Amino acid sequence: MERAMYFLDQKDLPTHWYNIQADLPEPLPPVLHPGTGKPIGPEDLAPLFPMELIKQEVSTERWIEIPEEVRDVYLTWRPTVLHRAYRLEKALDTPAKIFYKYEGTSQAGSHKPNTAVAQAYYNMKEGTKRLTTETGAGQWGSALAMGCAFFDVELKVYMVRISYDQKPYRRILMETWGAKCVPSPSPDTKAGRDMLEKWPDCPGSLGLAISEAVEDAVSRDDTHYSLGSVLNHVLLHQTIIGEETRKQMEMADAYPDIIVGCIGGGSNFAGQFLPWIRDKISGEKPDMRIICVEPESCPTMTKGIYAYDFGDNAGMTPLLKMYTLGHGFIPPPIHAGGLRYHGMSPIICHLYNLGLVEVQAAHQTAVFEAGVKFARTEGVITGPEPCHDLKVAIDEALKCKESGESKTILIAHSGHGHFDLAAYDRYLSGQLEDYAYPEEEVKKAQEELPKVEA
Amino acid sequence: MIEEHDQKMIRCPRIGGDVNFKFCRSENNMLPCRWVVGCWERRVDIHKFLEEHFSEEEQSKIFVPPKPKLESLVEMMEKAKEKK
Repeated sequence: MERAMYFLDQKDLPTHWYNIQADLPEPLPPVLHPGTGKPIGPEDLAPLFPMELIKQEVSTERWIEIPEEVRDVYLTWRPTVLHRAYRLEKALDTPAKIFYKYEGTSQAGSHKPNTAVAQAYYNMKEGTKRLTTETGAGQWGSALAMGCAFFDVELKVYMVRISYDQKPYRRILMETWGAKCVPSPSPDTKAGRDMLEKWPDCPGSLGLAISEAVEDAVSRDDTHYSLGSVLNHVLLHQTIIGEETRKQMEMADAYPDIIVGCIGGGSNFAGQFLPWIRDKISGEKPDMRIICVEPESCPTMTKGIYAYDFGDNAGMTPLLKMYTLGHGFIPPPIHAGGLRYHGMSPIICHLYNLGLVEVQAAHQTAVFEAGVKFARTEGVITGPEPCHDLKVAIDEALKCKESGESKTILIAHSGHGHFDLAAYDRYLSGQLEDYAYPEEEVKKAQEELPKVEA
Repeated sequence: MIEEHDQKMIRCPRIGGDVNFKFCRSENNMLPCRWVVGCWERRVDIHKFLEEHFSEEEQSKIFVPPKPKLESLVEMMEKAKEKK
């Protein structure tokens, strides 16, 4: 019997997060303030985040120590297991070796607690009594609720009302972990009250939930706000995934030829591949391929251009140098909420620009086909986002079958899809449709890019 | 009538769960979500729907993009500065 799981002893839990900013061949472009066009400094962020997170956001130190209190909490589910997908390999009849690092065994079911716990800790440490955040269907909200429970920080989550009413499961998770979860719009903020006055039955929106969480945070001195993706410190906290995997791959006497993961805000995949990419940057593993997968229907990077664009769709956020379709881009429907940012992590965009990572796009029906194949071979019901990884990993494994090569493929699997079964149901009943955004629409959106000095 | 498609369901990629068309036509401060075209054009004659039920001015507002988390972060920064 061949070994299919690689367990890292808890005493070998990594002690440091890895900071890619120390090893970038070129530094990240600055984040520009939309009002002044000048770089945003720590003082701009100070009212919002604890200083330690601000330092991490801009740090160029290679290793940042994980506080002992955070490690203690990590030990409640980490290290996560590295799996060898023998059954999938056999089903594909491929000589490729397929590994997947599975983050679905965290209490919240995904990778998100890796940063939720750290953010809750740093806020607690600097005296923050209370956090606010927004959530759609509740994945980030539930992860942060768990993090706050461990450090006795109050959390108030503004959950979009339609999800609050229709999909109670993650709300129940949040409440079980002690967070206060209210439907947005709520009577607790001016933004919410204004909307309720205008429209008592308003089902809410993500934008309104954000507004409420922000208003709540800035209205109290003991309260900060928390964000679960995109930012540098979020990606930093996720690097524990890749640092563990390096040790586990060593146990397996293997090194990845290809690393595959989906990108949206980019935090899970970056958490896996950043600890490996330093070998590529150093020249030790120049041929290692790092494949970011995005939806064919929302080709932010495969068809985007590198330019300064607004980091948000309304043109109000800092100007981030990122691959983008332009802030006028309207993404079509797909079943992977986390992949719908029209821009993504500046770190990933920067690495793409430097030619250190590649990007592929996948159609949603093929993505779910891969998810079902994975479920029927490895048993795991995969979330819609990491199904993208599976699609490209299977493609690469099948190329190995054709070429006879025995490449090692590592999948960054961010979590389970137990709350996403309706999407599987639609796939299984043949109701999913593929959609590729027309080239002319992309070109038109790109023409709207603002002009700033490089 | 504007309620014609209200009961049709779709998975909202922003929310991460199922919503009905009524939500999609009204979630943007009582105007349609700016992604309503991409999400619904294969199931509803969405361009016709927009033309029939929303003025040109409203349509121009519809496609002012929604506020993702990053924007809310900066808005919060600005408000926090004002507060200080």
